[in-house]
Amino acid sequence: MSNDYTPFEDIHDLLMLLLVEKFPALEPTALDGSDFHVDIELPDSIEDHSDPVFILLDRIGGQAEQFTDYPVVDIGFYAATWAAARDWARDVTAMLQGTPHIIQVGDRKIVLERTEVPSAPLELPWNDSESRRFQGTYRFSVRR
Amino acid sequence: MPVVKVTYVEDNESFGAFMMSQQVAHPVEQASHEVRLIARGLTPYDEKDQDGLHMRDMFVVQRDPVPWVSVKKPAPRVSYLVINAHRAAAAIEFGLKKAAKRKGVRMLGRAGARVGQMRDQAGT
Repeated sequence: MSNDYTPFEDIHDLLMLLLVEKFPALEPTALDGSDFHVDIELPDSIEDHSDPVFILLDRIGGQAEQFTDYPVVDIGFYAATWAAARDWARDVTAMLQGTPHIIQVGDRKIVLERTEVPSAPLELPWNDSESRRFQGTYRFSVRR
Repeated sequence: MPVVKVTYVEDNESFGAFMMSQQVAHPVEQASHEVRLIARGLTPYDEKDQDGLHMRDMFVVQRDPVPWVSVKKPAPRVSYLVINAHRAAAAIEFGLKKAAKRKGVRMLGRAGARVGQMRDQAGT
């Protein structure tokens, strides 16, 4: 006899919900949602989305145990200026570290228990562009 | 009835020596070779490119000449580096605006996330 568990929520979806809740400036300003500021893919034109910032989420690994998921996620911050990208990276990191976070997904409440930052955000080259990029690597603990 | 009292006195000096010993260096080196092999498998490869400088062949493992030290406790530990020695390493790892892989492939990042403390145990 086996127990069927509810699948883990996708960490990208959880982070998008949390970021938009905590930072209303990240809500799409266009009615059709085309002016998004948090996604898992880069838009064709970063410049069109980097005011105030574009945040790229990318899970690169991490273990999953019976009750807890430990995703390792790269988070990139693209903004018009170095200072803006740095400030967003710093603010979002501080918010994420303020665990626990309870994220409402439909009728479920998901607990983001812990945030570790094995590689804090730093500027990475993003050549031939006005926009600047900071990127860090985060490890989360998320309950089922 | 005799009472035997047992106490534990931590020996930081001895443990510090252990963390710099060959006993610890061996598994750390093994893990770094594992990272190198996984990164090699994740690296884009074009067999038609005949210039002999394939990125997947340019990962090297070397013992870090400066032992890793925690910010909280200045206790040195053996550490090894896995290095992508290709000149386009940063561009392929993290992506560039005008590169085909704009988002970056993250060969080393993904490989590192599968080994050691961050090992991907799903399905094993």
